[in-house]
Amino acid sequence: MTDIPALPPVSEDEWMARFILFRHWIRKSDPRVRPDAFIPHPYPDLSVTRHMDLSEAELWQIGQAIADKRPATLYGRADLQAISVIKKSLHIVPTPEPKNHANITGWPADKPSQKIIAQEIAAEARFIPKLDSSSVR
Amino acid sequence: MNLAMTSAEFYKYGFMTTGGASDTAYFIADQAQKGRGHLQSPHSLGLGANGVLEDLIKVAEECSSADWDGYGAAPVTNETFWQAYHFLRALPFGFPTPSAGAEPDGHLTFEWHRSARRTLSVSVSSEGDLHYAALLGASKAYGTEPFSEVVPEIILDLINRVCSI
Repeated sequence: MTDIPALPPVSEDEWMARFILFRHWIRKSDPRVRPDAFIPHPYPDLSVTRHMDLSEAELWQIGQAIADKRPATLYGRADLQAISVIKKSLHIVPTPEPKNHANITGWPADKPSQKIIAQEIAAEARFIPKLDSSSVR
Repeated sequence: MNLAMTSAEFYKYGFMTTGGASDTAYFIADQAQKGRGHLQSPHSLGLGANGVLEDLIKVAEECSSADWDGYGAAPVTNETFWQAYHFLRALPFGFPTPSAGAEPDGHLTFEWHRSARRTLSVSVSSEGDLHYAALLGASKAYGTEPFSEVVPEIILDLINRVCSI
């Protein structure tokens, strides 16, 4: 039997990425991500990747792997700080696989409450386009 | 019914097709024909001017299959498209037009966005529920309103508050 190493807890100042795989999740009017990208469905949680100990190149490699698996185009990522999630009474739960993965849990069940949280997260998130992709506007 | 037409086909042939020969089928075909005529009428030019209708059709097409995000997303159905289309058409003349999007639960979305803290998003469901959420500086508003031909007053008020200078 092998011991599974304990996953480092998420600190409030830690950064996480939500990979953006659809053009219609990016606003045309300004370089930000729409709240649509943060609606949890069909699972009651939202997938993110912790920046923790990853280089920029490694972070993009994870994003590309997610895009390839679906398959979809990787347009960029929305970076958000853990505190912006925690202060909305959500929880960030690290998972052993894939690398640096975590779920944002604790979402309310009703759609309007999900939407207002998604709005607030989107307002604080930074959109980082994948500049080496020809698909990025 | 999945949306399996391109935007060009939508304008040319209409969204709904029917292979049935019943009165109902003829009625649906007739209504679809009238809908196409309406789409091409001068009153529709406002919607077409900033591309929101084109974007709505494009997004609906892209998200018309189950699992369109590879993560179990619900499809955008014909019913949802028509609800969204009628909502768009019901906006009073002269109101700012939104941008269109979709969420993984199969809802189509309209967004009026001025800044990160002055923004409104409305999700349209296949049943005609309008789920809205708005950030208005330090305050916020969210809830659900039914849609039936007329855009609810509270949503018109939020559009004004987001877009007014």
